[in-house]
Amino acid sequence: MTVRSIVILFLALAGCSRLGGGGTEFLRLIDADKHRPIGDQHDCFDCHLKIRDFHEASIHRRVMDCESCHGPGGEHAEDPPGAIIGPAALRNLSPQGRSEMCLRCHRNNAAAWPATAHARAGLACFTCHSDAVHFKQPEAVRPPREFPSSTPFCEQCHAAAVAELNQPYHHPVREGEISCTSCHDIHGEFERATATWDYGVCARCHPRQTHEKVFRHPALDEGCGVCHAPHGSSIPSLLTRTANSLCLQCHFQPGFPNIAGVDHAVFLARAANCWDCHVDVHGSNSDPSLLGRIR
Amino acid sequence: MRRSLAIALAALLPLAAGAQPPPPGPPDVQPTVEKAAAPSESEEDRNTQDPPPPPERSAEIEAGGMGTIDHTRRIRELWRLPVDGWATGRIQAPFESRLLRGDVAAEATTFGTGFARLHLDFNDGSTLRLFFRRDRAPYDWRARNGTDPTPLDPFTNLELAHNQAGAVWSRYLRPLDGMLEIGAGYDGRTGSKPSLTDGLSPVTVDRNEFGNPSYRDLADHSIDVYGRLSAVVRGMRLRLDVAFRQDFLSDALHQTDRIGDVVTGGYTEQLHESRQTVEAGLSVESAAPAALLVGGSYRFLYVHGEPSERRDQRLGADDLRTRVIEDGGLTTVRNRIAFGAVWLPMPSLRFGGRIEAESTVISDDATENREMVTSDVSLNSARYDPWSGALHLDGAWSPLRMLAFEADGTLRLLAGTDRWNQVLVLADQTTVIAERLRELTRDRIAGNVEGRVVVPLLRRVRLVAGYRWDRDHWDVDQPVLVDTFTLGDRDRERHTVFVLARLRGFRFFTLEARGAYFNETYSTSTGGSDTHTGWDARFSATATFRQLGVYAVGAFTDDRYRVSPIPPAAIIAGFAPLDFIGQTWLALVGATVALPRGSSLTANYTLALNTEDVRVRMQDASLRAGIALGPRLRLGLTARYLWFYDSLAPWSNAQGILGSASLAANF
Repeated sequence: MTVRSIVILFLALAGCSRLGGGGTEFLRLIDADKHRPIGDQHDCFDCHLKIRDFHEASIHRRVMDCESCHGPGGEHAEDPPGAIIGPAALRNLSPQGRSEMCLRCHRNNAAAWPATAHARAGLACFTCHSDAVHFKQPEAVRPPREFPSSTPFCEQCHAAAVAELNQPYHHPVREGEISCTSCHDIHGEFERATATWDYGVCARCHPRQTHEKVFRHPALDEGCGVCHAPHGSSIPSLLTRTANSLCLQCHFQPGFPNIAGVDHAVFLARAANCWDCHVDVHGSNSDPSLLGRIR
Repeated sequence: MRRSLAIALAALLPLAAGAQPPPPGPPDVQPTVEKAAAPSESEEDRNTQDPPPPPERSAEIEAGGMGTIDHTRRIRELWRLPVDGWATGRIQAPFESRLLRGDVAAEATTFGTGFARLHLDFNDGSTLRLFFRRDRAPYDWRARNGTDPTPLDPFTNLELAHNQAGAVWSRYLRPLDGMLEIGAGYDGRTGSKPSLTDGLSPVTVDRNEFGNPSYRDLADHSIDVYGRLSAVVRGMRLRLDVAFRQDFLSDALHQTDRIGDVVTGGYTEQLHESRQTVEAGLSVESAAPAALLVGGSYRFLYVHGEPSERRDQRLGADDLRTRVIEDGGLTTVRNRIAFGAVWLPMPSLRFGGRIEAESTVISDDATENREMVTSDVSLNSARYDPWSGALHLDGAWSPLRMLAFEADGTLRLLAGTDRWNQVLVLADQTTVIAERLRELTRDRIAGNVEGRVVVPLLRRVRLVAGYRWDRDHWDVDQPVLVDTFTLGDRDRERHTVFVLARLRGFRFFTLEARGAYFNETYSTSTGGSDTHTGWDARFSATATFRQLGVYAVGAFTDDRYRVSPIPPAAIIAGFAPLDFIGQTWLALVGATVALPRGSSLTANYTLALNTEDVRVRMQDASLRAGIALGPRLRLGLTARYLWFYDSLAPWSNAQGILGSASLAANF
């Protein structure tokens, strides 16, 4: 394996990147250079009357028109069907191509979306935001935090995860207090893919546990899911394991139960949990062993 | 090797060319929704549906009651219900006008809990969110022996109230294609909770006989204000965060010792402290050139604790000591920088990586005065952590629609020196009677690699098999060691294999099973070599038959820690090795049936067993019914039963029954 081989491989992959990346499938389909736009003498809604109401009621009416997605419609208006990108042609695009249609404007999601599990699984924007453009379901195009009842929607594919919400200790999804999209940013968090920023969605409702601390529990660097089962658990605090089994996953060491010179056998014999003494399990501002200030 | 490269390139290039058009996505998740949204109806039909009706408001009232057998406080703690009977009111009202649209939701109970949320979207692109939440968490008394602890004061109510409130205003900035967000929040806990350390440590044994529970009065308040600006400039996304937080803590531990009904002593320890935290961060992300995402962030943390005072005083016949610790204020400065990138050269190929580095400087200056036997103690300590770093790498390659390889890797480096210098002086504050220096230098290297093979078969079966390797290595140097023992250099190595299988059958059932087995070896330079083996298995099944949906979840974890005999040279008097086994069993079954006219019935049963010898067994059953009384009126009925059994604290065994009825209306 030589440096030259590595360089060749890198260049080849970079070439692949130019061929395969860039998001051109949708642009090739509408092929704006080959067709005339509809111009001022025609209006799509002269014929497509029933779409107008939906369009007028939408947030999209302020920033886009029909040709944004269906391509130049001059020939279609003059001699229907003419050259127009109909719904069937759009549906025949690959999921990536269909998403490109939306991501041209929704640039905030453009960078992160291709790396998400949903995108890699072949889902497109319309998979969830069905008929978003024609506004039969206006609630479906609202931002995720307003998604009114995403749980039944997500359950169609993620039934096993929703079933876990029926465990004795669970996030209040079943009670309607939060929904799947309260936590899952299905468009992808860019920071998560590139640079660690904070503890993500958990911090929104659990600031006390996720605030930066002087002595933070290193387990938090692995994410809250190392100790907590977010959908549900039979153990209070949504823990993945019972009391000391949870902590010993990382804190088991030779000489156990001698830890840092302290014989913990007496505590275990009295059915103590680790956090009975190590109160500040998420981090402490005063004690590197995460012990409480009063003990 | 060159031939291998040529073959690899030859395989890759056609795939790249084949990206025109790209292959359809792998059948990782069946896009059932998309299928549902791709109907056979014509386009004209699709556009002739009426516009959606205006959003409906709803209001609900609920009344419920709880009954318990045996230890009521345990059930209260498990269900977080401080009362036996209650009523709840809920309302949700979306509204819309020409200037704004919004949503208000609120819930209030007769025992003083609830929440309120207001969300407003203005036509100018700005958003305002207000929220408030209050919870009450009752606690059970704790005791480390097998008898029921007698409360010090039967009227003392152990309960914490948790209050949260906040306001967030955000606005879309069109010129920057970004958002400006400003928020403020409050988070506070007040009340009393049991001291969990009763009878555990040598420190507390001398002041707390078993069976005499103590409790803490706690007042912990945190206020934070933050601002966040994100923008897209020339394809780069920028994000700037600034936050300030103020914490107040007041903590008092109360303990009364008694023999029978006779009070023999008491103990009170109090702590008051105040802390300011400033956080700031800047991140830059770029999606250009195409298929390459790069980003970086810088974060700064400053924490300063105001001088605090801790005072403990022992009452009664054993009045031995009064101790005052004056904390001169702990100050921390932390800098963290991170860079990351994700590269997608082809839709089927992805590489990602992230590197982080962090530096922390902590200074501490505390003085402890003990009026004990002979002297006061003046203690000065300092701690310094130079830096740490981490490198994460991951990649995924899907060479065929039926096969994909994924790999993750992490390398972490940590180097730090902890130094404590303790000086003991007499009450005159000038005569030094002892000086203790403890210095610990640690260099740690940790790494893991995980590989996965994903085989989606026939679009309905997904198989994942993987292997993970973790290794930690510590170089520990303690040039000055006074009061602790050392394990010396250490190595830990873990091998894990795991499988996951998911089967979807014609959109009416899903089976998912996953299991993992790992073996971990922990060895030290002093000759110790211990093992930790574990199983982790999980199974879930869901099925839908017309109006009936059933689901089941089963889980089992088993951790076994085996400690090797300690070499004679490493034996420390008073320490005894202990093997440890932890197990968790879970079985959950449930069903939901949709009845005519929008009614429904849901039943759940859960059995959970925790740790060996069945230390804790819990059975939970619930039944919920929703009955449509009309097009806009709905009756809800809930019944729940809980049986809690703890073999080590049988006095806390309890059963609880809960029932509630609700009436909801849409208007």
